[in-house]
Amino acid sequence: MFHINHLTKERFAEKWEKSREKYYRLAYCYTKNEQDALEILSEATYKGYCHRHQLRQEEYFDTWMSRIIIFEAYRYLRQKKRWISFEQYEEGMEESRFETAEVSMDIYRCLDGLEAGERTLLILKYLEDRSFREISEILSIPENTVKTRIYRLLKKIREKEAQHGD
Amino acid sequence: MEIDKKGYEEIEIPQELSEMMAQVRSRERLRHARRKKVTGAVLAAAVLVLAGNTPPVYAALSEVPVLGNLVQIFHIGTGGTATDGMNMTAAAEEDVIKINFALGSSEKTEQAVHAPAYQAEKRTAPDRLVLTVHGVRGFDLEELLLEAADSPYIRDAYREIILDDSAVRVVLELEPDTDFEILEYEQPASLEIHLFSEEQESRDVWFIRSQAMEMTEELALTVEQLSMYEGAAAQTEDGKFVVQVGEFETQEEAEQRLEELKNQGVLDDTYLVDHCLSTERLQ
Repeated sequence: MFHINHLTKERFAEKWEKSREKYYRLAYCYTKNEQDALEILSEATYKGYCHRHQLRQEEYFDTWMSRIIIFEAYRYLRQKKRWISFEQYEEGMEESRFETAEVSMDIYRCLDGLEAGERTLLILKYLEDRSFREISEILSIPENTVKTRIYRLLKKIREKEAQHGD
Repeated sequence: MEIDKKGYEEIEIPQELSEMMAQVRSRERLRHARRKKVTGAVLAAAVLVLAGNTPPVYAALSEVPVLGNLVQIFHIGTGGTATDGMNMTAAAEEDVIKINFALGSSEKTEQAVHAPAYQAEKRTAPDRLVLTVHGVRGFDLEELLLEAADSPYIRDAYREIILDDSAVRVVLELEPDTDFEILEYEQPASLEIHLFSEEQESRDVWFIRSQAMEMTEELALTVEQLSMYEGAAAQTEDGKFVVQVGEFETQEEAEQRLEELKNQGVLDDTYLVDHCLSTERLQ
């Protein structure tokens, strides 16, 4: 038999407060703008709150909430069409090229040139330090697919960096 | 590979974040709060007269609007007077659905004194109110169904086909944490369904179900045949319908009942035991 303990309003708030800065950073990484990030997070939180009954196991709160924020960010970007253009990305590269040591990779800065889906992978893996397994749960895609996509993405970024290095 | 997270870690956390949860909570409360102002007064008089088994949801009262005489308030149950040839019109607001009854032809109508016989049932998976009104020949429900589906308390509203052509059945699928009360008036006759937020338990329910089918006469026939075994039509997640038979707390009880009904020749092998959350539709 299943024993489902649904999240109460209080429990939802408690869980959310505990990770709110991480959630804010997640939202921020898509737009790099305070107002947009607040809007995304507020909308995502409201949706999560209203549908808290759908979360069947409390231990998945973080996975579930992150997923809602990510999809809310996609929706927001689609709506506002605020894709950061490749030109902006290149400008950004120009400015900070000299600060970047060859051995390290500034993932946060790299986000700018990427599509929303690619950003998600980098944020979850390298900025939030999540495991491949967790990412696979958040995005509902197989773990191996997550790995392949991330490695391919890193290769793509390295190649871009290398071009700029020339 | 060394990861430089400086940029990420330095993202400035705005002050607004500390108030966000409180704002979200009040936004949700607001969405559900407006109803009390409207229904409070209507119910107040009723609660005084007929304390009965009515949940004491409404406290404050100021004035009593002019309406017919209140006959009863109930959650589920039956009422009205056996009649025939009634016309029924209905309109929905965010938190109240009003159903009026009239007699006579289109040229000359007058408001009915007593409501026709009706029954209100609550079913789960998904949580819904099933209202059947008998002795009604004419009705205009299109607008009601459209308006009702807009209500924040209602997930979906539709008319269910039933075999009895002198009756009409309306199904209101409720959003989570929504409850209702029904008020019956006479002189003139009307029914009001009041919707409000109330924490509801969402639990796993088991039942016997048919294969999914479209809303057709076949569905109506099956529901009719199984009505004495607590059969009811339920919408599935993809918009089809199944006939649910009974409602059980455990899988064992449901399996046992299915076996019994199969042995009695009531159900065939296409029926199976299934379960889902009481607030949700079957897959």
